[in-house]
Amino acid sequence: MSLPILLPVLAGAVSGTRGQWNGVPVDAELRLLAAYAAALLGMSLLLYDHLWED
Amino acid sequence: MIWRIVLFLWLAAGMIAGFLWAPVVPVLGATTRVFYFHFPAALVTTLGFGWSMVHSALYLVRRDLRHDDQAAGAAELGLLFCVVATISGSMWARAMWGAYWNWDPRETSIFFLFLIYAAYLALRAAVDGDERRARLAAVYSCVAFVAVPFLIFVVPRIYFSLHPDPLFGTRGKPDIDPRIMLVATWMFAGVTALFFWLLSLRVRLGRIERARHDA
Repeated sequence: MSLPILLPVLAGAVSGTRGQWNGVPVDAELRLLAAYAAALLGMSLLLYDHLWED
Repeated sequence: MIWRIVLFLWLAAGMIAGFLWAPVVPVLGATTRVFYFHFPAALVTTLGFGWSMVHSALYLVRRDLRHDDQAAGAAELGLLFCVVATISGSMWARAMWGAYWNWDPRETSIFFLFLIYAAYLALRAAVDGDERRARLAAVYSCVAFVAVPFLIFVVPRIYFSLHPDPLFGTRGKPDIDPRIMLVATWMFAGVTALFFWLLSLRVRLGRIERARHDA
């Protein structure tokens, strides 16, 4: 179920890896991945107790 | 009843104005008219997913199944408008770019959104028990909405896209003819009203089904 939520991470990682191989700056991808990770981590911390009930 | 007729006339007037009154963008030609369906559908998709997230959070706080009805209905309708935006965008892409699907960043983003919220519906269908289903779906909806601003607003601005620029230019002012802007705003208002009307029907249906199940 969580796979679709991780699709932006996969797409950003693939794009960043391709950029790195081609010698293109990958700052945008790194910022995107860091921001997405931070947002998901924050939301997970807020929701953890509700899942733990299960 | 009367406001349903008003809504019908409102949307009909918007369509007529889009075809007969508003000018076409020179580069886009007749395909400009797709904008009056595509733009409201894309915005209402975001609205639906946001509404779903807000009511999911409210459910987790208050444990009231009426919020779950709102969240489920909004996600379903958001997905419906996501399909409308994708199809209308694909038709426009076929006319302008020569192919229905080009893996443009905006196309890819809306495809990801579709998958994320299709998984939400799959989750709801897979879990038994109203309370358990509502709790798990609410958690998923809150997590899923994290992806929405990234996919709608961030990704298309990071990567090169053939998609026309957003409505507002670099100085924060509309870049398009005021008549096109007016019709687009008119249609957005109408489609938003349509969304809330359909949502009210979906919520009522959910309550009736639960009452019948409990009886």
